Amino acid sequence: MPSTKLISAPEGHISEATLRDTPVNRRQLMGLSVFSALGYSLGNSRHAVASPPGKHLRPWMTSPGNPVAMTDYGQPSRYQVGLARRMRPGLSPLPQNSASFAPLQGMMGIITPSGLHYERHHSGWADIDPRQHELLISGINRSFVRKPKIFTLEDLQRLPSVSRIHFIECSGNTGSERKGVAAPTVQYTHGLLSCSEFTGVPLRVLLEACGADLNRGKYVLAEGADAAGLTRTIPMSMVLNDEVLVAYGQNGEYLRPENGYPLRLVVPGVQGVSWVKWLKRIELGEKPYGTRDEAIHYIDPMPNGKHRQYTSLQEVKSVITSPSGGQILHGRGYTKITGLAWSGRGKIQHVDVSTDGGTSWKAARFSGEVLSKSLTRFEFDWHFDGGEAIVQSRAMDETGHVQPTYAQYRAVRGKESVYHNNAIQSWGIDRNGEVSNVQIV
Amino acid sequence: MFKSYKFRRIAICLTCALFPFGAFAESSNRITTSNQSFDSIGRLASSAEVVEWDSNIRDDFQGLKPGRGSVVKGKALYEAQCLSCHGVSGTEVIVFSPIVGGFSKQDVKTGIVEAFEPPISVAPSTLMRVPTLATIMDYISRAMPWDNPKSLAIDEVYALTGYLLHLGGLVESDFVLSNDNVREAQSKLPNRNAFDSEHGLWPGEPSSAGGIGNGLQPDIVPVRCMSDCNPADVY
Repeated sequence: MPSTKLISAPEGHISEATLRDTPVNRRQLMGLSVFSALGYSLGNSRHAVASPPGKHLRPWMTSPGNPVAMTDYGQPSRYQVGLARRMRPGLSPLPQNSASFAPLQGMMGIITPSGLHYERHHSGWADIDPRQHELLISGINRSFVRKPKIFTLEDLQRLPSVSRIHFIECSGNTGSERKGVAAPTVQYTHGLLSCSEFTGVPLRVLLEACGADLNRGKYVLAEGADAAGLTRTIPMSMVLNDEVLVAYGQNGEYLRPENGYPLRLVVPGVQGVSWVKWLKRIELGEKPYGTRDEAIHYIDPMPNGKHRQYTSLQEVKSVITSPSGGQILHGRGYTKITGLAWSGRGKIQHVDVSTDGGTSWKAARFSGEVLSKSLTRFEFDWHFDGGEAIVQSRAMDETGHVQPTYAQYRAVRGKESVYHNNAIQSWGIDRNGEVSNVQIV
Repeated sequence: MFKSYKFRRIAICLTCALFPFGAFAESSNRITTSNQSFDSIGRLASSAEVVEWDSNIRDDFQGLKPGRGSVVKGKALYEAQCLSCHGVSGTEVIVFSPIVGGFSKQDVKTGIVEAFEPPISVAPSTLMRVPTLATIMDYISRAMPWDNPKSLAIDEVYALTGYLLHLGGLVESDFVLSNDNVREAQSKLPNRNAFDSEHGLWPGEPSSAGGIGNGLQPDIVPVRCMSDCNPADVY
């Protein structure tokens, strides 16, 4: 298990041991930007050090580099080994019924590299041979779907398709923090979150191709081919407006096996469990299904002792990914604050940042595209003066819905539900620039 | 297509009137199916295939195949295939959360488990949470046992479900669960009346239109305070 302690942000995912093991010697490191990441341990070296005359040349400047196609499938730089998804120790006794978290602290922009996409499996994953995988579209009886059909991956790729960028978030994301500070880093507090471009066929098109009665059909059941046979109820209105996709593509290539290869459902704005992976069956019916993951798990205990059922939407939320827990600021002076915002209700309209623990707020800047039901990247210019600070972000979506403080969240939802915690995250920064997870109550 | 220039001009103007935003000239991202036939793509499923693949049981027992199984038979199956993960009493936390325990006789009468009044001090069990017996039968039949799912015959699903109810003290040791008495057994579930779906987190049709929930109306509505804000304020 790699250490959760990070040296710096955002470059600091390189341990000193890793640097020692690389073929560049200490002198060659001088002047490279990565060196600033070690500024704290190397004292004065954070200031510019001039290279001796003639020493600015590097080996790769004085001899030809590697050939093309040296690797069939390109890999990240060997100097970026710390950016990895991680399982939280003690989360589950069974690694097949568990989750791994995406390393938000080191990611840029809004797209999650497919190999870093978070995982949540209920009974493990399989790399399924697409020649042995089929999707059945049928109704609860023949009056709902006149001509039930079976499609292969190849069949689906022949049909018209769409590609769209959407976030996916596990409803248990940030659940660890519901009663108080629990996880040390943003990877563990918010890393059950990813965002990809998905390519697939709108489910409406498939239903129509099977002669479905889209007026009588009110709900869709989606079933996976995993050992858990995961099933979820999908709302028809999202099928009719073409939001729900049967996807085979993710970020320009086929889905990764851990993300449902060869087929998964895409249900934008809705919690990840509904994006059924290894999708094998769609059934059109007139009533919701009350499946295991709608009646035993993924139900939200409320302060009145009752449980909310069919809580599916992921509400407006944001988090500062840098600086975040476990990181150490480079030093006093200009400090870029950056993070992610998203909402299951649509586009992000504003992100505000506070550096005084929530007393005053200023609007942040969007540093990329603002898309509906997608991650949105924000940045905020800050001057760290060496005093203690608490940094927070707060998002508002296009419906005007504002992300709550913990006080506001708990006043309505209490502390018991592990699901749908979208409260404002606080990171405390001490005089040394060390960042830790804190809550204001 | 058009016989004269004049006729074409009328047609274009008519189109402009019908689609003032120039929809006819713009690319649209909606896939039209009315003018396409996808009949050559995919294959028709046979009735036998649909029946075989359709193995789920809805929470109102739709899809449940007829059958019967005794608590006695369920105990033998449980001890052979379930005990190593769920423990002798079903209340143990060995691999998964407990499957029984955490509720009282009073809860069985009211259908609302009191132990869910915060703060919750016990590890919630399956029987303590689940409002619908069919959900348990569906999950056992398609996902249990953990290391050999989809292997149980329907009578074994009845037997194991009956034994689970017995472990929870809801039926006697001579009980036999069958398709004739599943609804009666359902009426004993201790948390059957504790579910509420009138909230703003269901993105489909609201209950006022025959669906679920209140149509995405949020339950927490903070204001966008910019200065002199008190983070401890509820609103």
